[in-house]
Amino acid sequence: MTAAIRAEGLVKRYAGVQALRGVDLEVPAGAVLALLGPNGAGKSTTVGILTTLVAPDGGRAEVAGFDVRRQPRRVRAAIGVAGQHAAVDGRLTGHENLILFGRLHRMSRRAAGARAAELLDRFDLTGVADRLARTYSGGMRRRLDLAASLVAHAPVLFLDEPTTGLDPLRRDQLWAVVDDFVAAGTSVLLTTQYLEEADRLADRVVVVDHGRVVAEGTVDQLKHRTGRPTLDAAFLALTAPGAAVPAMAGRAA
Amino acid sequence: MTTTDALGAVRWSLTDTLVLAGRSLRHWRRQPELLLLSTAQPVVLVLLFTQVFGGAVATPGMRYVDWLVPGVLVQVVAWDSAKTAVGVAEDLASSTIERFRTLPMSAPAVLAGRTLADAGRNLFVVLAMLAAGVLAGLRLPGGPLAAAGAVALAVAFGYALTWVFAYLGLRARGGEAALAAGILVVFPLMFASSALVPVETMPGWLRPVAAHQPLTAVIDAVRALMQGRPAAGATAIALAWTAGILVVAVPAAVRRFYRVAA
Repeated sequence: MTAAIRAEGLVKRYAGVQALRGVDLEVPAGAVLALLGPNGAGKSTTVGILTTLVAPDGGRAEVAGFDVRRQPRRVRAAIGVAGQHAAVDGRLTGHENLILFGRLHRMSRRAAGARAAELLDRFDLTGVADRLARTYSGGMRRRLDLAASLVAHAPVLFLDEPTTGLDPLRRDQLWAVVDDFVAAGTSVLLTTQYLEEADRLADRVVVVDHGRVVAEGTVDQLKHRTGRPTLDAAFLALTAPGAAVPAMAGRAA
Repeated sequence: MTTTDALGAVRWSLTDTLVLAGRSLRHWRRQPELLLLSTAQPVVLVLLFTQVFGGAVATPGMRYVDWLVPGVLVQVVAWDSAKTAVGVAEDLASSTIERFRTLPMSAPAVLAGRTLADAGRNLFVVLAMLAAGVLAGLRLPGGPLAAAGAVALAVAFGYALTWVFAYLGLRARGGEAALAAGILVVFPLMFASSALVPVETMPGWLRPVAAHQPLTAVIDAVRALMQGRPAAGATAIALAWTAGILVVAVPAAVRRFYRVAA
């Protein structure tokens, strides 16, 4: 069985800043992996490379069995992206946005229309479907953005901080939608600042810091290795200055 | 790549282009006042120029209104196509384009869709100006077919220019800078041309430049077509400019697009 996402030794430099120093990660088909790390740790760069937006300086990555550098078009056909890397068009209505992205995913007009209606309903946006997206509240925009990433039934989803700005009710609702997709076989790479979210959604967690993977495993394994009872505390222990030793030990275990 | 794959790729690129042209058209539909104002401006120009300059400018063998309208028409087409730079730059600055880049679409369709929509807007503006010209006394002795040819030529030239401005929009940082750069290119071309006055009235150093620049070529062809004068030579030169600009600007813009956004 091919992994949904496999990255080996990803390296990226930006004008003197070493953003990634050899990141490895793997998301088995049908699994949810949470990518955690403080701001500037390399989460966004990693997602950028895996979604074909950023060219790596070293290493290789496959998504849905396709090489991100040599087969970007095929990778794009297999992924949905939501979050800071992708936005909706504020000068179109919610409905028009979803149809636009469906059409650009090469769906027929009819299929794109049906899918748009279905997703608007699912994300509770039917009532505002014909309003311009720029008039949406932050939470509505976020939901539309997520709906846009789901238009094409992509087997691999990238959710880049998907619930930032959502109230707890909407967040729970969104988690339930992600659950549905995962139950249907979708693989997910999730980046988040909310450890509760990783705890709730992810099978496994990869913690990056300073462009490196400092720990990986199931949520329970991380708690166990760091001797901390909660993922929050484990995360702090892993990414605190001078945390390299237990982190590397954790990785080797 | 097999022939079938290649044909399929072309077909999808065309579909993507049409879908994205539709997106731009929807943007304008949401701001009808913008389209209305940007059409009213050139209409006012036509009415104003015919009245203000009409008594002062001697045009050989032609009433001033018949001289002026083709000139202003092509000027406005050039001016209007500069807006492409703004649209491209704004797209680039927004993260909508980032989502486009995560889709399995044809990347150059982002440019092709916008230039196509801009050509549509250009056609609308040209027809409005022509109507205003007729109100101001313009006659079209060349007949409707030649007039339609003149409109098509002006719009085709404008389409070629939108690719130049697409390129500039991709080089500029933000819509404002793109517009400033566009105006800098367009203004000398607009006025050092045969649009408002005969080239022969200009100082000696400017005359050869004004006579041989693309806007003059297109204006002369549009004028000849509308007035029913022999137009074959002028039209050929105008089409050559149009084709030449496309041959240079399309690959340059597409290459630039891949560099900055794909």
